[in-house]
Amino acid sequence: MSRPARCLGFLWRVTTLRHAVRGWKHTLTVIAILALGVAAFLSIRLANRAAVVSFAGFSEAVSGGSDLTITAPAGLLDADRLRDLRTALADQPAHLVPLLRSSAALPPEDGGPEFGRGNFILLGLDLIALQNLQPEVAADERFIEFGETTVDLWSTLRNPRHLFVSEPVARRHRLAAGSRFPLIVTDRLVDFEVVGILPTVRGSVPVPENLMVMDIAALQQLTDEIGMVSQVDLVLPRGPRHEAAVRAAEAALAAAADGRWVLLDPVVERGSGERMTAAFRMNLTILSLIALFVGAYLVTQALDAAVVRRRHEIAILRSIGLTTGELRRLWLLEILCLGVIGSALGVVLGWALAQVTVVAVAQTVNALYQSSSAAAADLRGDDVAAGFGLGLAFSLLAGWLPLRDAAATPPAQVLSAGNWTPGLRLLRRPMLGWCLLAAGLGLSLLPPLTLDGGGRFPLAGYTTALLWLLGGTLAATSLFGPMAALAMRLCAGHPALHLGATRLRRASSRHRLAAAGLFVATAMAASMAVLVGSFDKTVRDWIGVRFQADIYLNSAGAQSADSRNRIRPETWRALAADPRVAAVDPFFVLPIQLGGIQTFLAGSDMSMVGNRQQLLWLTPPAGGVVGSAPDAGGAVPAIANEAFLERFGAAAGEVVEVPTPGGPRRLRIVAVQADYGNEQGMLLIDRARMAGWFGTDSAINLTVFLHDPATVDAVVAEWRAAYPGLSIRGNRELRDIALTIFRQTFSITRALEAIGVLIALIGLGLALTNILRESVRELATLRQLGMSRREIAAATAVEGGGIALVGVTGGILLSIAFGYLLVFVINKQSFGWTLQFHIPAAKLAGLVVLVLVTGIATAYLTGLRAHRFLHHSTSP
Amino acid sequence: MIHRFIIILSLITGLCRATDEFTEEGFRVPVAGAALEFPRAHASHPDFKIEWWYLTGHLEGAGGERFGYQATFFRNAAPLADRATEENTHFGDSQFYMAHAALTDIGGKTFHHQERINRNGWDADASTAALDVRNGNWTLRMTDPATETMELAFSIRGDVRATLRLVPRKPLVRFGEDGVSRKGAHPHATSYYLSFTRLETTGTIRLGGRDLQVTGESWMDHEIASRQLSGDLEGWDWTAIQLDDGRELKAYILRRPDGTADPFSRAIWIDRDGGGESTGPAGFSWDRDRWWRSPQTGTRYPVGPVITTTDPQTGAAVRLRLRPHLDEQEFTGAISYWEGACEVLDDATGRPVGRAYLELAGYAAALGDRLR
Repeated sequence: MSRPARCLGFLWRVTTLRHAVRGWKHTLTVIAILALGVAAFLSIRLANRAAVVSFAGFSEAVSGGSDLTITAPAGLLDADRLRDLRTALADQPAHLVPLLRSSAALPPEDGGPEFGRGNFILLGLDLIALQNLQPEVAADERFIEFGETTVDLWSTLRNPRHLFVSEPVARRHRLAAGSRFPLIVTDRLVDFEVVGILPTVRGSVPVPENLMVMDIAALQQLTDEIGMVSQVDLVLPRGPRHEAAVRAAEAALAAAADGRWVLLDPVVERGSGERMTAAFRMNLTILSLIALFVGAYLVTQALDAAVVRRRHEIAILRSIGLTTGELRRLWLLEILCLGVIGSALGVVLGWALAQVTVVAVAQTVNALYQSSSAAAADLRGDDVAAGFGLGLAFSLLAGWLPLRDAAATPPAQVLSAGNWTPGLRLLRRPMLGWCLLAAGLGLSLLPPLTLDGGGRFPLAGYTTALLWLLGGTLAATSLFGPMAALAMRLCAGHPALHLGATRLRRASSRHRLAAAGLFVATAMAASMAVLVGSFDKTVRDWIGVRFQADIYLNSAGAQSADSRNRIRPETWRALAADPRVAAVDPFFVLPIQLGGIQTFLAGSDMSMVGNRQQLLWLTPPAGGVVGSAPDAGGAVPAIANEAFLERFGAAAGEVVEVPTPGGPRRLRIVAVQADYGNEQGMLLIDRARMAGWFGTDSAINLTVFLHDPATVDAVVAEWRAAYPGLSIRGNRELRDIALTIFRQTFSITRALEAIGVLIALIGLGLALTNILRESVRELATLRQLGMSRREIAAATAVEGGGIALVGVTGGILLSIAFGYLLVFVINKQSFGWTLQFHIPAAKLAGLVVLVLVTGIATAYLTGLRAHRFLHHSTSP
Repeated sequence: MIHRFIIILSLITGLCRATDEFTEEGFRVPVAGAALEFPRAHASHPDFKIEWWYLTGHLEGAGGERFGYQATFFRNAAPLADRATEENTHFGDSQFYMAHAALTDIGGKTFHHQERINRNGWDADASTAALDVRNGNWTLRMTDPATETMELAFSIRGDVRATLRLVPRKPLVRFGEDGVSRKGAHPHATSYYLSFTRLETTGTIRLGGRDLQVTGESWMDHEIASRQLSGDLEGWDWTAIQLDDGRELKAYILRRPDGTADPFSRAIWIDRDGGGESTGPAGFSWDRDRWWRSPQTGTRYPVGPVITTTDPQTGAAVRLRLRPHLDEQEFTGAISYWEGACEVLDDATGRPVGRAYLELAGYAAALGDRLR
């Protein structure tokens, strides 16, 4: 018969609440662990969103909602096509909004970061025609107002240094109308004048923080792209016939296209940045969930400790008539309270952490995908809900075993009789663990899930990781037997030590839980170390092969993977004409769409490939030479990178058709290179051919070989003075920067590695304390039999060391398997990069020593203080 | 350099002048006695600062639907100073094109209007060779110079599309003394003022997704100037009346800040053959009889004027009362004004005697400085 809730409330106050207050350190620890787990997840979630928010339709913010986007099949769209578009639309009342997209960056400063220090989307708009869209947006959301006179507007149209900046940028850089704002555009330092501040929202679309606007003609002049536009947004009047009008416009434009333009759905385009980074962001989310999962082990141990500590009280409650159901409810309430408080703190902490994490995520997004200058992450209602949901779910998951254990506690009489042992029977099933490990191995062989926009998500890989974590947890406990046997043999002459080894052989569920927690945390930390180590080694080797030239140049404004800042032909030709220069290789790259998926087409001097320019071949070209002439079938030779093959399922020898302004061209993949600078795939052809196809002779970067390499420093110094808009680096400097950039991409991973180590050590301490509390009667007996405190401490040290050894050994073994999984499955499927497998032995050895020392020291100190547990456990 | 450029432009735009005269900025000023060469003079004159092609009309559908419409193409030259030597052909910075279109659905009692603003370039232009003006998908073209037939196309958001064919039924009228219309005391406040006062109009109006065949009559003004108003003037009250007897009356008050008429205000009768007779403010009166306050801008407009003048045919005094088909015909945009279709009543008998378009400009904000 169920007792009234008031009675249970009273019991909850005198038991749970009293213990929570008295054992406040323990209570705070559980709450802190939960909060940390929730915070890790939430910070990644917020940072992910903030880092990609700048992708959210910059053109949407201009047009307030375009119905179609029109682009060239590849490269920029000839502005002559604008009249053709208008003609094709006949009398349809469409606004056509041409845009030219470029990029700008803050100039390098002494001590500032080399990469991602501040980059902006520089958008050229027709500031006059923009007025036609103004009636669609509220007065305070307008970009510029048509003034009382047109004089200011005309001067802005004519001045390629007049700029509108976003409100956050204006605040950050203390800018107002009339302020000077020097920025790098193409290869020049431009002294802009701010003429206005953009609204924060336009047509209910947030204006991206890193958006800057100037007149399209002025930007064309500035970037030497006269007569070209990036895209045209088509906006049709809203109303009941809007949908039909969009379909009619689409049909008319498609019918008249004749290969001159392509139509894109802006809804799809709006999400392209998000799709492009989906796999990357999902990977981070999964890693943060793993951190939370590992944290759940800690909470389990902490709650388990509470059950152990209060075992007698629970038994007494059972004796006075409380049913197991009522006990379960009492404990559930306790777990939920901890979950709610932990989640609340986790949400606050997560938001705070996100402000730091967002910078790291934005740096990676910058380096690999698109411009992102996110510097702050906002907290929304759904984030709070997600934080609480996850916190409560994990606290319930973590509390499940201790709750079962507490509810299963027999009445005091039975407990006193000593014929009952605590539960956690699941941990006594190593065979189940081995089965899960085997199932995971099978799953790891499956291909990735393909996402919209070409992203790949290694679902099977992550499922394998989960199965291996669970399976490893169960399987690792089977190490107790052989470990104990070895310890008993080694400690044969030392009764106290032998006693500890004996206790290991009879490893209880609590021993197994402790080892499992340690195992999971160690595996997480060590596998991250293996991944980072493998990446580092691979990139070092790649850089060693790839970077052989004496000097490397690019625009000082090239701060992002999608930077439009280029070296103008006159600039690189002037550098090439320097008598000290033996050869130059201007490299050019353009985004192209293949089957609706973005990838890159690049141009390089093919005559230098294989001699001056070394590539790391995965499939070398026949005879070691690529050449530039088309084959008999008319296909132009191309070098694909590994990510391209992975992304498009292509293979060496195949022909790929790529779009160009002059129509589709056929490329034959004659070689495959390893390339760790691009995960969206790239096809490399001869630069001169590409320049002919796309009508531009600019370069993204320039590789320079000198007649006399000893003159590098002098040449670099001289060129730096002459070209302040260029980043000019010697070989060694570039190698260092390249490594820095690559390491940035793993900053989050390293943070998770540190969290893993921290959790491992805290968990070990908690677990050993639990075990010794549970064994307090046994220890008291030993004391009665005459064992000294030091001898008891020595015995517990062996026990603790054994548990640590089981956990860390299993963890290290699993980490190597995890390392394999991350390197060959998850990373390969996500980024298309094959890494060398590298085990950072010294780092792992350090981790083992740290865990063992912590385990032995904690157990020894706990053994020394065992008499205090005895005192507490026998007190009323 | 700039002057030479303008002389070349003048030669190709069909203006052969007696004496060259220029504003302080360097734009050409209309001069008395200058001969205009047609049909080239219908085209654009970028050597003058301001130019507009202004069409208004009254249309009827086969089912009795009645409409008034306005379609105006403005050209405003950018300052001559600091112009690039080589202009961007797609996104120019020498001309500013504004266009207004409005349709008054008299039966439906709705007023549709839209403004378009563009620079010279890919989406807006005006030919200097022939009448061919475009702004987005709005166009005005002279398709047959021999008959001076024109085609006009415009849309108003997603609501209205109009395609109209305009054929002059009366010869072109050139207003002003010696071919120059004065708009104020300032010597440069002059214009070449050309009008087709009666254009037979046929075409299609799409309204609410339905195509309606329409017929009616339109009026077109083409005005070329470099300073439209004297700075001391606030705006104007203007009307183009098409009387049922085949004559027209154009009247305008150039308004001073105190509401009184500037001496250069005019009332001009156009007889059945296209001949004109003009009188100054002493010869006519414009009484602001009824006012309407715009709920949108709060501006008060005198929407029911009574014009009193002498009929040159009979010598008798006539009082013509303009009664808007709809009060809500305020055009809001970069410049807000009231422009609407009206019926014209003999104020003595209350009988309808014609149709008119009435424009009330400078009530929302003074225009003198903006149209210098």
